[in-house]
Amino acid sequence: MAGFSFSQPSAGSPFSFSSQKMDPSSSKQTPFTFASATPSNDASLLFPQKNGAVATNGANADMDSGKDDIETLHLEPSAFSRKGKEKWKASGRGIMAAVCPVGGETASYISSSSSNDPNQAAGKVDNLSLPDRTVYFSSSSSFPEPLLSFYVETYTLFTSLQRIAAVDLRLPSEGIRNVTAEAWDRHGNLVGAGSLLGPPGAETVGHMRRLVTMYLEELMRVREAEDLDPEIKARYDAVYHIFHLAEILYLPQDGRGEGLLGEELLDWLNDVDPAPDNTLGNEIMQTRDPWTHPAFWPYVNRCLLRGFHLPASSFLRTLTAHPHSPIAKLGSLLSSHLSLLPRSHNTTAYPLDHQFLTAHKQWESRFRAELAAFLGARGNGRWLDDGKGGKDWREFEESFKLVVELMEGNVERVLEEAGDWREAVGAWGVLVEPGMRRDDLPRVMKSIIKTVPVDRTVLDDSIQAHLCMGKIIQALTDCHELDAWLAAHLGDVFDKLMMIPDDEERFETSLRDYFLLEYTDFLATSTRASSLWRIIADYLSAAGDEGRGRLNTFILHIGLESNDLKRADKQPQANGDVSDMEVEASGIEAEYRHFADLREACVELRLEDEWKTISRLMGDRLLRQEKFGLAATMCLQAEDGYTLSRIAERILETFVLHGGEAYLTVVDTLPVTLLNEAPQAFQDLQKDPESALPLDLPNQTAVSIFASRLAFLAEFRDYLLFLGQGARDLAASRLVGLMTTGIAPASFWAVLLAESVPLLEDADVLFSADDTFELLRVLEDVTTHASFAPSDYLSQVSMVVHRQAGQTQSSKDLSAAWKKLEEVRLALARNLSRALVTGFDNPF
Amino acid sequence: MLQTNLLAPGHADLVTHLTYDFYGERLATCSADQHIKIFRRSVDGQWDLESDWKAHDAPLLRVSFAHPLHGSLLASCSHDRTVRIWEEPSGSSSKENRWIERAVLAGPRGSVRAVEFSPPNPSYGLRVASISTDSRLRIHTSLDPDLNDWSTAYDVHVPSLAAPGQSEDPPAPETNGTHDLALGGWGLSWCKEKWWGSVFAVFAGTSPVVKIIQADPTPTSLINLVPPSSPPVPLTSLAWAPSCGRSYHLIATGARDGTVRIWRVEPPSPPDESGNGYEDDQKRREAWSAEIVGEFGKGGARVGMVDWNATGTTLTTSDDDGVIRIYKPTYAKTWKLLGRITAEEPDSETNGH
Repeated sequence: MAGFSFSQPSAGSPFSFSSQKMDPSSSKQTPFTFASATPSNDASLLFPQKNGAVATNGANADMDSGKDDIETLHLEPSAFSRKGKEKWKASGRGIMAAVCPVGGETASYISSSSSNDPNQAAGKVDNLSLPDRTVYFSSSSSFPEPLLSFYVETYTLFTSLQRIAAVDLRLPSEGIRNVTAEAWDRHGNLVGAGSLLGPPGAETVGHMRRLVTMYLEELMRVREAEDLDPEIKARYDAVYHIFHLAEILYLPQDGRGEGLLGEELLDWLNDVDPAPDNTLGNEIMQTRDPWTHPAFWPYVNRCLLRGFHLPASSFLRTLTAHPHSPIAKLGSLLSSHLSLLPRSHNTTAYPLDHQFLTAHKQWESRFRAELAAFLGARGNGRWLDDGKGGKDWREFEESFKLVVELMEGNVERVLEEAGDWREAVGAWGVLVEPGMRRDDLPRVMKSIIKTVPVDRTVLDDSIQAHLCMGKIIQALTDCHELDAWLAAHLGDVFDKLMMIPDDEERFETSLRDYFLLEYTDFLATSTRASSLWRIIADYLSAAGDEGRGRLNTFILHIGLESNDLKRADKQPQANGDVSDMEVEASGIEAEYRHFADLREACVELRLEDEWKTISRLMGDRLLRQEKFGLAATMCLQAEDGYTLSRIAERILETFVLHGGEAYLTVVDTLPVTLLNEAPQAFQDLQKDPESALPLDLPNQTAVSIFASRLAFLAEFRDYLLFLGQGARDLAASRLVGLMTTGIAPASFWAVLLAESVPLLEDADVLFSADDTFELLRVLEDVTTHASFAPSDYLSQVSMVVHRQAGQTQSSKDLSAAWKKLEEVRLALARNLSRALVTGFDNPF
Repeated sequence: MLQTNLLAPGHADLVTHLTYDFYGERLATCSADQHIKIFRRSVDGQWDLESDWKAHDAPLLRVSFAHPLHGSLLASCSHDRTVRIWEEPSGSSSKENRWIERAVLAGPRGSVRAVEFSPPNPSYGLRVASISTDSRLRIHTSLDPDLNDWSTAYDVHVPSLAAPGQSEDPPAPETNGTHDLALGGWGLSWCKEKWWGSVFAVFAGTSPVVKIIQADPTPTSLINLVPPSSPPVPLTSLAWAPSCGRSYHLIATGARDGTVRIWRVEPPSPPDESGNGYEDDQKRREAWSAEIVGEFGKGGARVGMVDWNATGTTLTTSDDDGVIRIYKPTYAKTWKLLGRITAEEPDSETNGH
């Protein structure tokens, strides 16, 4: 267990692991896939018990790990050995787990199992073992870098494919478009109405084929990737060939599938399972008398089956050097005819299918005629007789016969010679039935597999056979076992082709949606889930009602802070120093980027309610971090009036606790437009609450609360600015305005009164008698109310007084506040007399 | 499956419960050593200790994070017969990072075995439900946004709650003898969907029955989930799956005999507007219904916990044999064992698979 030992814990110091991090990629565990974990029993997946039937697994069927094919992860360091299990259990220990709400992480830990008295804790465990002190984290899947980029690239192709299909559905008539326009989100995903029309037209199939070709290109990239686990590579070889076959069969180049299939299928076969071996061919050719090589005839036959007719022809031509003249003659005859055998991919010679078919027929009859002429009256067993007797050439005759029969497309011979069903089906469309089209394939397959059965234990073989037989559901079900990506993307294509029958009577989701959901599950539970959130969201959105339902939950759990931001935060930062704007700015930028992404996703995927919740949560979090400006922006988006007023309160609190300068800095973090427009907006709102739409915001209640708060913050800022610039008369009138318009919160009145004292005692008379009377009225209000609720009305001014005096304040003691109010009264009285004398304005 | 990381939480006794926060960014552990610790996932994926404090006067049993809409809150329960509510200190005010105690909810006459915050629901504000060995379920709520004023909204004796359709209480509640206590289990789980109001599932004592309870206006049992097996086996754990907009709910239970059951619970559908449905149909639509859609592990070791993933599509269970199991539904909603995690040392013979 080296590598998992703790250093000896010492008092006060945290434990440290000698090996803290396990690199998933270097772990010996094989990567988890759904394919490997699902028992290979497709019947149960496809035709299971209906709802209500209970799946009862045998009691101990899954107890003996290792005896079934269920994947088992052994945690390290292990807590007990098989022998020590009973002793471990008897010690009152058990294992517990917690599931992470985001990603597929499971945290496991050793806990006490149970005690005899549930009101008493089990006795203290004194000697905690290493496993007792460990929380284990595990993930359900992980995949290497090349697959990550593959998943990312094919995601964009997938979204394009959705758009193409949606456009095709939308095109037919204006009427339908109007009715169903709501059914699409901005990605072109069908989120509303069910499918409205039949299979897509030829043009759309063509577009789809182009995109599937791009899928195949991406798959090629995975296959060619270096340092990829051989097992994964092999799996993606299989995925590639399956997808390729599906493209050939179901997304034909002409979009209609009317063309001849033989050559395409044969090319596919030669790609999947290349044969015959070139080096063997060269070896045979280099032999002095090639026909003496034991592999000569089998090689020729394989070439014939695989459509390599010219090589086969040159092999046969070597027979012209054979000393026995009938052999030389027949060899030459077959060789020349084989080289002339018409092939449908020769479109220069046969631009149209029927031209090829005619040519093939002509070739066949000419070949038969010349062969008959060569044989003359010689029957079986005497093909190669030259009338001189001597050597028995019957062995040669058999070999020739085989070649002839293959060239003629003799069914029995082709099936006999074919190595497996794939070779048979490849040869069929070239040799047996050159006119074979897509519609014929299921029939052909039926007759082939009677003689050459499909090995059902080989998954990709079975999938390919199902595809050829047109058994789409079975093929997809097997694909699901092979690879989650394949089932999702192939299922999507087949669904778009309207080839998956709807069985919503029995199942809640369509097969396509189910496979897409399985794929999103695979991505979302992988170790790389956090960087794939946007992709997962889009796939969920494309996966029907169930997907939309999951998306609503999924999007809320996306972290509010990107990792970039966390990194920025990690850098040393002046502690709480608001003047350090540069550090702040970079953080804000990163925050905005992640947030902009999240917002974009919510808008594109029509998640308005979720976006409101996210904004509200973010506003709350920012407020906690004292980032008031951003918090206010978030709250406005969330229409969250409650948090908005809390923000305003907190900003005002800054003045109370830290003074004017700090207040100005904080208030300037609010969005400039908000602050500048607030007073005007508030006035409009007061004049005409019905029509005023201040700040272009939807929710009036939230805004009207905040608009008044904001207006106050803005005007109080102006007051402080005037004061700072020495414009004391302007400051004084602003101060009066704050108190007479009623926008100042009551708790702040006393603070404003205290602020007035220096202005009242200015050498100039800054307050008119009217103003002074107003202030006196406010003072009376404050003193009256404060006698009932002293802390509500005086605590803030008390804090200000203490701050100005440089004392640490005690919240209970309000005597200084009362004293301050008396000071205000005195100043007001003095000012009133001055104002009456100098102003000549008569208050009565 | 693969092991990705390790953490030494550094508790002086066994960890009794562990839970992730809403975003999976933080981890709260509680232990028999009376402490709560909060860890935060760092950029490189390691867990950094963020705060650690002594929270109770006896071993803790469970912790629960509140939904972030309610702020950064944690509830804990303990053998000291209290539930406590904790709030994360905001801003840079506290260097120590010790969470602030907002409430000590006392009253239970036994250990508080489970505590869970309700999902956010604007109609009811923040609620926290707890159940103790006196088989009483308590719901506390704070109407004050500053969380300083907590009061008991409901306090009911779970065994005395009548089954739906029964006007009278069932036979006298079981005696709380030591034997019964020793075999008993207590647990609760909120319905994550606010549509049906304040609804939760609860079990108490030696009864094998889970009661689905609607809190308002008075706690009423909507349906009892009665397992078919006899003799009755007490339950150990319970989890209500997030429904993600599905029309039905999934509730998982774990029992003392190792049985894990998955219940599919269907709430009543809205009344038929045409009004011409058969009377039977109408009746059925008005009531909650339930059926077992998966059952595993009977006769095995006591189930330790059951828990759902965030979309309610994967069930994780553990048992006293040291094995964690992960279940998933197939296309036809048949539940299948998908994988296992065990603390057992790999058998050298079977290791080479």
